[in-house]
Amino acid sequence: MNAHRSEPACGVAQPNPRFDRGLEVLGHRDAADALKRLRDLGEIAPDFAAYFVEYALGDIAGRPGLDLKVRALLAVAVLAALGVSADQLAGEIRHALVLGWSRAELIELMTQLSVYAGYPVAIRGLEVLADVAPGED
Amino acid sequence: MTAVPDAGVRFARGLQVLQDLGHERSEVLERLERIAPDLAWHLVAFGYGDIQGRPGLDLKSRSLVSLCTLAALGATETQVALDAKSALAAGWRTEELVEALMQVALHAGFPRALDALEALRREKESKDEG
Repeated sequence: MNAHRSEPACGVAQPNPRFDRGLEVLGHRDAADALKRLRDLGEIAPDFAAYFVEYALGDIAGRPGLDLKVRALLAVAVLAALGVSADQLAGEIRHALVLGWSRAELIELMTQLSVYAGYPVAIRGLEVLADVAPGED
Repeated sequence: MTAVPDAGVRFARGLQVLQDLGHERSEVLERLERIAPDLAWHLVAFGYGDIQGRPGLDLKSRSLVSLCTLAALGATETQVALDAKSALAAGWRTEELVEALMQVALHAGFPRALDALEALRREKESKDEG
């Protein structure tokens, strides 16, 4: 464990409002999936897992100014455009669905992404979406 | 002016660097050689021989540059895992690679660092099992 951190990552001994806020944001997620990925991360990089909860989720995603539903849509768009792993993209898509975006709206998002990031990005995004949320089609 | 090394020397130096990074020739090259033999040759002669085989920066440092660059570029898990393996063979400890990849989050964003750490975790897992 890194001496720079005063408490064990993901097992908070002292009051840590940033971590708590991050968990609160995480609580809005498809929690089982998100927690599994966080545990995997904690296996190899426990401090980084803690930073992720405190900073990425607590300090940034947990800010007022944009609601979590809008932030979830942004995250899907950016992750799809960056071309990160299907696991990560699928996690954010599940999160967006949980927060109230519909499958049809996410299809619309991917369609618009074809303009900004090209067809391959849009098509891959739709494939991951289809895996996460199989529809009638 | 230094003599220009011939093709065979460049290729041989590349193979030596690959070996120093813990890779058997076949492991890295077999698939690429089947589909694009010329590209495989250049990868060894230029990528590993001419560039990574240069003096001026030791191979251990170079392996960290490679891993972090691939992570930041969003390379595939296979590629990141291969370079993680190189970095471990070059003498880095897993904990040090984790530190470096945490810094990648700063410069390239969390998602790319997360993907790279997952690749490193799986590489470590398969190594621990193997």
